[in-house]
Amino acid sequence: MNLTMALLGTKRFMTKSEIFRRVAGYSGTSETKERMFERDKDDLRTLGIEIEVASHDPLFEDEVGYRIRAELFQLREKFDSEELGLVSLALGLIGGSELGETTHSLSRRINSLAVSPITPEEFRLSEIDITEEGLTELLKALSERRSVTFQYRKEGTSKDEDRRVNPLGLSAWRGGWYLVGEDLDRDDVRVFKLSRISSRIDASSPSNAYVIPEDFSAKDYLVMLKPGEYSVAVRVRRALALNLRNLAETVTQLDDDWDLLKVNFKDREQALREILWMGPDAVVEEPAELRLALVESLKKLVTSHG
Amino acid sequence: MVETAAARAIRLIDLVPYLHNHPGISLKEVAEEFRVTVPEIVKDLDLLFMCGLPGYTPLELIDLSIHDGIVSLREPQNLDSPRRFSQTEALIIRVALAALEELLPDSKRVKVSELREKFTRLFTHQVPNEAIYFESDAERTKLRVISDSMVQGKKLFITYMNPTKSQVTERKISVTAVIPESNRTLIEAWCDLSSGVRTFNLANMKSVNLIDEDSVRATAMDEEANSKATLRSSDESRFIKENASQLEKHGNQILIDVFQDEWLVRSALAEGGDLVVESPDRIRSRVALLAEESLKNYSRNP
Repeated sequence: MNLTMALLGTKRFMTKSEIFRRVAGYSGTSETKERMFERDKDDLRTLGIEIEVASHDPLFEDEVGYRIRAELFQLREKFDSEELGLVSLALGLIGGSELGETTHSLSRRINSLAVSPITPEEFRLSEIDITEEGLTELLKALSERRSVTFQYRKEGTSKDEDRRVNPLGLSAWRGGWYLVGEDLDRDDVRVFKLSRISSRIDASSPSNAYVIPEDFSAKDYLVMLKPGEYSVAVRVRRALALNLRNLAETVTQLDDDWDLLKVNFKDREQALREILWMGPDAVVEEPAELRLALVESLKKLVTSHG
Repeated sequence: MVETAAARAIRLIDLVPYLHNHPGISLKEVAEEFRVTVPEIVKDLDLLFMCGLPGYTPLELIDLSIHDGIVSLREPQNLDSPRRFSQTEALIIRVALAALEELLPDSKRVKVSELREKFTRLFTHQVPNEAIYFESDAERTKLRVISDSMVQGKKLFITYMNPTKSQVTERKISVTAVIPESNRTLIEAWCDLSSGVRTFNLANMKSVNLIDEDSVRATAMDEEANSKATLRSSDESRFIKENASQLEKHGNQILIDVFQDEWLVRSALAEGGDLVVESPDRIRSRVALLAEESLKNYSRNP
């Protein structure tokens, strides 16, 4: 404790002899002190507290100095109370999961940032279950960029395969977690469903083993999020057709009354249904075959309901 | 259970900024927060009392006192800020924020999204912001909030997209029933906005949040005059399959309860003639009218 505070408090590097002389708690023979210091240093490193080591003084090259850089040890970044409130709320959300122990420690530190109690949000949220086996290991591996190995059972097969993967991203989709990573044996980016990982995840390889491209987006690799193949240009009345707008790739304003949407539907049938639902507020521009099909359907409707 | 020296050291380091920002907190609360016993916290504080910066005169020591079970920490020395987040911890916060972002109403989302980017920038910039993508099982999550509201007797704040009017409204509702159907889930609730009982389609609730307002006990539920409609359709039509549980069959005729005229009108349109509304006339003629109007769009603009 005293060593932490002393090393944190010093701007310049402290030498070992200085530490023995000035930091409380070091007593006994120089050998004992030496042993105590090594032990304390190891302890701090185990706690993830980084001790910087450097040559202290050009005149005493044989003696190295030690210090802890405050900006690497303490939270000096500024957050306003709304931000702190939102982080607390978010942590509360996942507090019941496997990550609970970590989130509790994080909440406490968030709470230590502000004297005033954090403004309670007007919303009370129920906890959500985000846990899945292997998630903790993969979060750690991804954050430290360590390659992982595990056994994977592909859909529709019954045999496990060894995989070596550089994790690039993680994605939750409708209750299941997916790892997006570079498969080192197949030399390609692949998606792995966590529930199909059939062994322990080994992440004992060195950290900072690879670099994730800055423009990497996990979403691009998730097949289930791929837009539909059936592309349609549809004109809709302004401020209407919200369900079509939600699906639209692009929205262009045509005039005061109409917008043009480009929408990718799953298939022609879905396109037809969604556009018919809008009645006179949506008009298909392209493709021509959809226009024809639409006109056919509308004529049928007029006849059968007339 | 033997506590590791490391766990204790971390607790000591975390105690100082925590106490610094919680003046006048009780020993009991501190012990609870740190998940240890009161005697252990007292032992921790005794040790902290002797820690400080080199020099170790009263000016350089951590200064704290305990009176009547209340802790006051007057001088934290250089331990005034909490420990920085490790990269893994920051990534966990990003996942939590991504989950939160999805649950809040649109108006609140931007702020959460910005905060998520801030965490990426400050603590884990090596893992790009878009590397974490979160989309929960939305219906299940919403249903859980809804059942919580019923158990706790609290109102819900919902953002609702009305597909027939293409409008998004924010409403406070008190749920009275959850009606699961084969392809959709309906929520019956007292709606403050419309001062009446309304039926909502769960899929159109864009966000659902519990609020701290007691729910309205809708004792005298106003029975909306539900009318029946007569339909004609083949068994294979999508509409018939999706709404099978709602239908009564009498020979060739199919009967359905109509909660909302416009819903049936639009459903008939979407089926493109495979579903015919025979009665009531007001629905039948509206289908015809909208279809004619739509056709005009195409003749005007060939």
